[in-house]
Amino acid sequence: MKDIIIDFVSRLRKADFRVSPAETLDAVSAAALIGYDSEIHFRMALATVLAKTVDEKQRFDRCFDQFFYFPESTALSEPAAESNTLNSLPENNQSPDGQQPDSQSDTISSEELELQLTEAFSRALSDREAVLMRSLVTGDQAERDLMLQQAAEEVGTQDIRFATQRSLFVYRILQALGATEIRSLLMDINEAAIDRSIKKDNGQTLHSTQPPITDNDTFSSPSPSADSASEWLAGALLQLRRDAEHWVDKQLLQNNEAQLLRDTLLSERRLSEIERRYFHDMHVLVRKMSKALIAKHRRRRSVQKKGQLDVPKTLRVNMRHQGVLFDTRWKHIKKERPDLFVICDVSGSVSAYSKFFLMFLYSLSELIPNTRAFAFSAELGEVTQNFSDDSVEQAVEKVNQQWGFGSTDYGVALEQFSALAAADLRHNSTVIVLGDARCNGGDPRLKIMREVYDRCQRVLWLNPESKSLWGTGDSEMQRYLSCVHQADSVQTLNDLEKVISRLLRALQ
Amino acid sequence: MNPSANDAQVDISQLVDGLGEQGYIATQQIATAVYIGQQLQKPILVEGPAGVGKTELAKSVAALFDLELLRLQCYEGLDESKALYEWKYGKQLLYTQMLKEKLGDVLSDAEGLEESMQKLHQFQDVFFAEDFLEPRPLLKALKSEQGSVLLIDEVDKADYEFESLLLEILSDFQITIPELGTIVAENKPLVFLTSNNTRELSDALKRRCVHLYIDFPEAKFESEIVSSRVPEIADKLNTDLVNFVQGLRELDLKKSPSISETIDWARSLVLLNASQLDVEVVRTTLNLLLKFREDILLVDNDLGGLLRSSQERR
Repeated sequence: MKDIIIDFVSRLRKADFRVSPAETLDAVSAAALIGYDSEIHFRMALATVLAKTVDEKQRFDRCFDQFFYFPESTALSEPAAESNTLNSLPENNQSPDGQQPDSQSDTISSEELELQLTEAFSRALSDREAVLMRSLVTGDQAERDLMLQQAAEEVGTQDIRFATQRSLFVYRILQALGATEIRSLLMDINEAAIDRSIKKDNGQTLHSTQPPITDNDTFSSPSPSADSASEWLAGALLQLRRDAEHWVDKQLLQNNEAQLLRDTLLSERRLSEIERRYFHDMHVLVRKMSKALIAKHRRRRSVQKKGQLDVPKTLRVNMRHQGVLFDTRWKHIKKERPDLFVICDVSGSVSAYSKFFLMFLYSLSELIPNTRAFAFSAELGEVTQNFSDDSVEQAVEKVNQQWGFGSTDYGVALEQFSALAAADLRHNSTVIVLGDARCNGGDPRLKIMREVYDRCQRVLWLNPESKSLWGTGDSEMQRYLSCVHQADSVQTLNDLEKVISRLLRALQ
Repeated sequence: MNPSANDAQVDISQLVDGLGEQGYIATQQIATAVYIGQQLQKPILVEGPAGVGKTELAKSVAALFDLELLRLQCYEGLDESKALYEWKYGKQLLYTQMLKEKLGDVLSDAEGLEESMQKLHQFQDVFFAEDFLEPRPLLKALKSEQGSVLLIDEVDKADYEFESLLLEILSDFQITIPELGTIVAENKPLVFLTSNNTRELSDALKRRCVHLYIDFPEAKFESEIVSSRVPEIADKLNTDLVNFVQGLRELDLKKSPSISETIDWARSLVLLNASQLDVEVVRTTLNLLLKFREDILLVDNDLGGLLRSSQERR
């Protein structure tokens, strides 16, 4: 039981849950306490100990369902709990072919069954095959799972990486178990039976073309003796195959590093080249990065609160102590909350960069509460309201739609920004401009930029192009460089994160 | 195969029933979390939107187990002296004044400063004994003799430093007071922490807790809660108003009505002797459900339609 929980926890960790070893221990205790006959209570108990945020709680249900599945019927001979998995035959009545051993044992006992089959086989069974036959016949789920697990380890299923390797590993497992051999023996029996009946009935009953012998077929061999037995065996082998497939799937999911790999790739790719279908992953990634940034930069603010003794206040407070200075009061350095003004170019290819940058910033609103955002291409407008109303992703879409038309004109944009916000720029404001500085031949209005530069504490320019392209063609970047404190080239999500981290450190 | 497993389920259903008697309708999830927290002796972190019954849960549990409820309301700037303990400075001073003469007697035969000091040292730390200690909720919970339920309300309003303070208490149920030493809880309190999720709590705190999320309930549940809190309400009115509120929650409101607001509304409707929900009654009492002007205007515009669709819900 402990191992199952540990397995489950490692599966959760791969799905981006942060589960500590202490919580794993709690989960084991909780599971022991609650027991597993009631799925609902078991699920709730684990959820309460392993999923600690609202988001995790929602994803937990999915992971739980993928990992555990509980049998609907009670056709198990022993409690499956003792075995290494809680997996079992799903809906015993559902397999379309063959009947299950339990129902079959009404008409024919398992020993007789086994005897019939082994007699009918063209050769003696090897040890491995005999063991398999025995377990198939007795329907011992626990033993079967154990055999599956051993076979899986033998063929190296723990190394499976891609979904395309599934059938290969399933085949290998079945081969290791000896199931493939038994199946071919079974096919021999059936062919022989068909031959016999052909001879008997003089071609009266049978179809001229034999139906292809596949796993999905029901064998209705007209021969009376090994008839029902072989049907049953075919069904049992099919079930075994299904179990093996499930095992392989589980391993594949556990090993699925694809998510991690994808995250690394996405954060290193040029933002303008990322296709739409990855946007959801990008959002998740941005949120994850912001959380990490928040955790990293959260502590710094409070260190600077301490100052000198505030003598008047101390004296006042200590009147009740007859002037003895028990209760000291200190001067507070009022930390003015930082002001951030962001001007983003939302036209063409630069829009992708603006989008992710704004997403980042607004995910960090806990640390930088006063962020005013402006978007422009042909015209400039303030978009701060969008971010307070909607979720970040929706707001970003709306901004694009509203302001992303026309060719960029930096001069007009700066002028309109000045009209809207120049009065609010203070000595401790930070202004960030995100754009490629390509003015399409228009007037760059450097004077306005210079005014902003003089007034603010910090002006940053983030350019999606690489440094070698600055100043080429209609790019006025070199001229704008004189009016900014720092200019960076940002092309990937990692670059954005670095810039923001530096900014946060400076703002604290 | 696990003999106590069935006991667990029995205990959980007993918990649900017991809480029901106290007037708190608990879901299986809530009861399971409380049970696990109790058995594993871990604090229970309850998160959820405002007004769903997080604080009520702690109160009901305390009433059910007949334990003292100690409540600590958190706010930004909450520190040790308000949460943990404080010295009774006034009392210390007063006693010093009153015992001036006695002190004089004690030190009368001491000559010189050093001897006097030595004499005083003999009395150990008389003025720092437990009598002069003013315990605040956290310390009270640790020292409680019959056990207690400690409710740390709105822990997300407190700051990061306060959370660090809580860590020792929540994991080991002990606290170190420099003058007195380490105080270990003899009867570990059952701790509830509530949070409105205005900010993310630190991992260290979360790790030490069992987590429970209480969301807005389903219609059936909400009806039960209303009839438990407002027993005199008619069944039909109960169903109608619950359906209406459920409908409101699907709209894009600034603040969705929570359970406490539903209960208030139910009470007021009973008070106004309303037998059914019609447009007039709802319009006049809308401000009990919705607390923002924009929301009220939004709903008012389409009141007839909303009432009709809520009728169709049942």
